[in-house]
Amino acid sequence: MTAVSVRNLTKSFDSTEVLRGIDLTVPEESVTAILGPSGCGKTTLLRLIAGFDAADSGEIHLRGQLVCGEGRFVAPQHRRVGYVPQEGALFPHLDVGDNISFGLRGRERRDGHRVEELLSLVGLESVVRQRFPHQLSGGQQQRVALARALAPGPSLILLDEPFSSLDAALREGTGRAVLEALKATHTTALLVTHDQSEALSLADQVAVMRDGMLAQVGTPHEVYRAPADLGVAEFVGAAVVVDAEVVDGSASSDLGRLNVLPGFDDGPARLLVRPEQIELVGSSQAGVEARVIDVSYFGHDAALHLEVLASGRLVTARVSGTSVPVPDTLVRLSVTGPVAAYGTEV
Amino acid sequence: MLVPAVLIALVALIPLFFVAGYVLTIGWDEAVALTWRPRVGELLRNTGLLVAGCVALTSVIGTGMAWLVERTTLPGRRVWNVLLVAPLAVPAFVNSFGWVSLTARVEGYAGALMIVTLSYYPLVYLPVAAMLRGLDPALEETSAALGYGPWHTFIRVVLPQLRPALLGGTLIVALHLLAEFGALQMLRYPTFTTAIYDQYRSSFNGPAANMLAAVLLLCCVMLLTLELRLRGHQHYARLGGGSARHIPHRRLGRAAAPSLVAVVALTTLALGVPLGSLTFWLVTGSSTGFPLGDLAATTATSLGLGAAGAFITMALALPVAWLCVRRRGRLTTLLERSTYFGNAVPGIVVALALVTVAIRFARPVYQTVLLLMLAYAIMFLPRAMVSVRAALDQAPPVFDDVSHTLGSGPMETLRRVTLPLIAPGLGAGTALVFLAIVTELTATLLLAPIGTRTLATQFWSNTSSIAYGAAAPYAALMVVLSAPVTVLLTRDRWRSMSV
Repeated sequence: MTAVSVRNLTKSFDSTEVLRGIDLTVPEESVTAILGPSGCGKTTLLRLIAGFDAADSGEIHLRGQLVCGEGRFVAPQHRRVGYVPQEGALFPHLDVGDNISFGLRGRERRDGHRVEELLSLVGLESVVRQRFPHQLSGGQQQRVALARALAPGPSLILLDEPFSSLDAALREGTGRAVLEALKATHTTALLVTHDQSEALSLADQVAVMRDGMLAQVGTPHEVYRAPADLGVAEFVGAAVVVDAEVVDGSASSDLGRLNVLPGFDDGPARLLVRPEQIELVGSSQAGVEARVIDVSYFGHDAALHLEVLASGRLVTARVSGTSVPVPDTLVRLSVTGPVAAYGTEV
Repeated sequence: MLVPAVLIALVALIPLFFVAGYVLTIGWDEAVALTWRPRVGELLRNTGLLVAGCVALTSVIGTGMAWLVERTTLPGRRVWNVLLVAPLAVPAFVNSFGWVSLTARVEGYAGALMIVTLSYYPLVYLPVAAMLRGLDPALEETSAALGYGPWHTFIRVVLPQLRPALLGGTLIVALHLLAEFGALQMLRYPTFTTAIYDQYRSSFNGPAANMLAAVLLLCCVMLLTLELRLRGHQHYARLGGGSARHIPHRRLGRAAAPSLVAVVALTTLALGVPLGSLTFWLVTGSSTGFPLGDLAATTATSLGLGAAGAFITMALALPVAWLCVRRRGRLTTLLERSTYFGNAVPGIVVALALVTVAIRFARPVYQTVLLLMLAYAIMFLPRAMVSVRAALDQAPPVFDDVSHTLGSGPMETLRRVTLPLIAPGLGAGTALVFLAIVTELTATLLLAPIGTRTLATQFWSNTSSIAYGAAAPYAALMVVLSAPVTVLLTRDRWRSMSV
């Protein structure tokens, strides 16, 4: 069964079209990331699914139930959808325990057993229970916000840029903890983010949004390795684009002979090469010759800015940090793995 | 919400309509004739000299004291912080009473300037101190690293940052001065406000009083515009997300003793003299009687009027503030600005406007408490607006969203989320308006129905007949009632409401 099904959804504010026909299916017990630059309409989509705003046209089904469309509109308090806004938005007048039990009713709210359960679920110790939101770190606030959203047992959780306010160091750990809590409770999640690595590392399905439309929906691997177009390719990660001629699934280019992913007819093409596909090869005859222009060293790896000698083309390669050439060295490059090809007309 | 908000904004603008309407009906020539008189020139000179002198003195004293308390190792800074704000708990007319009942030498310009300065410097001290506390020390460190000494740094880096606080503070001082009646009347220093009162008392609603009110209102509006111009669109904010570090306090060294003497002298003059004088009259005054029944009845009347006025004012502020916070737009901005207009209108003009309008259009309301309530609402709506807006900011819409997704409907959200979040702010706002009403003199004198005796009016009628001892208990009660505001204002979160 599908947790969320969105059909041809549109929404305008004043005269600006924010959503221009969105179709999206979110399978149960999965994490779907809606990835897009700021202003692309991703938060609006989330707010429509939550029921904070009504769509202009189109339909939203939650677990097969129509909640928006055909003249029907279910208020957010009746949708049983959890919501984790940016920066958590914990109620400042309530302590952690009361925040978490806010959505619980009757005995469940009073006996407090569930609060302990949820705190451990999101990886917090029970001592934080009596603390107030301002006494918590950003990461702790996000975990409490998730626990609060999970408390009434919703089958869907909406996360609006939940980690964007956290330090890079906290982001990864908090993201993992959130993911584990979602898996443990079999909760479906819809995560809105502008951070590519967050979307690719946390989600089962990534929906890339652009100008109020979904440009591509697929697994993280599909979206990264076989983007729908070069725009998606460059948004999802660093890209080296080279011109080539494709014949029988193989292309000859400035970077040598490359294998092309199936599905592209013969003819002129633009190829997408990810920097980590470019490797330095030993001093043999293989590969093409290039000169190192400069090096950005990150420790675990390094980005090399290279000039291919034959054509003068500039490319970026991402290589392991264990052996990094110094500028002005001559090296030989080759591309590993198949690459995606696109038509030359833009 | 929109319809009540528009009505409230129109009520707030009644004084403006009154003055504009009056000038239009008498015509241009008559208006010029009434304005172009030596008496008006004299009043203008008096008022201008007092405002200029007081603005200059309060700027220097307010900034100097704020710097000593916030940035140096002055001993006892916490205590001084409270004592330096405390003069706000003594209404200016009570301060004036304290001095003039001891010596008649404070009458005239010099004395008036000293007394209003002592009463109003906290209005500059408060915003400047708050600003100094919020300044990023990195700015001053950067200046030092670029080779500037402390004095240069203060002039070139700190002072420009303090500009909005100084402008805001001195504007309020100037507006208070234009509106001040009791203190200056007691010191026999005629300004527009006292002249309007005298005219009104002698000729009741005469054209001279109305025209003076028009000139006074014009001065107030000019001040407001001037401040807006000067402030411009500059923003002074910290860039970047790093938290501001603790600000180091400068060692005073050899300057410690003179600084301490200055602070002690100031608080003695501003607080010690009026309170001491009040105590003196309470204890030894020959006319001091403690008519307990009378005191209790007057206090009850004052408290009742204050409570009713505060609730009405806050209730009027709520819809306008809610629209401003939640439905921002051109119309709502205009409505908000209209309610702030009361800030620029002296109580005497409000009273005059309401008397005229009531006699002309709503005779039954004249000489009723309702009209008095309306005057309080127009005068103190700005204070209420600041509090209500700040309170509503505590409950941004995202909390409603979260509450809805957790299964709470609109009413439950109001009860469990919105009200608990805004209640403290509303409470503080109500308290501020309440205390402002209890110590209000001018409009109360003109509008209180015959037989209504409040602490302020009883105090006034006793001082007018030089019964200083008899006046003292009423003044003491007003000071006691006002004291809590002082404590409230020394806390950071309520500072912005000191307007």
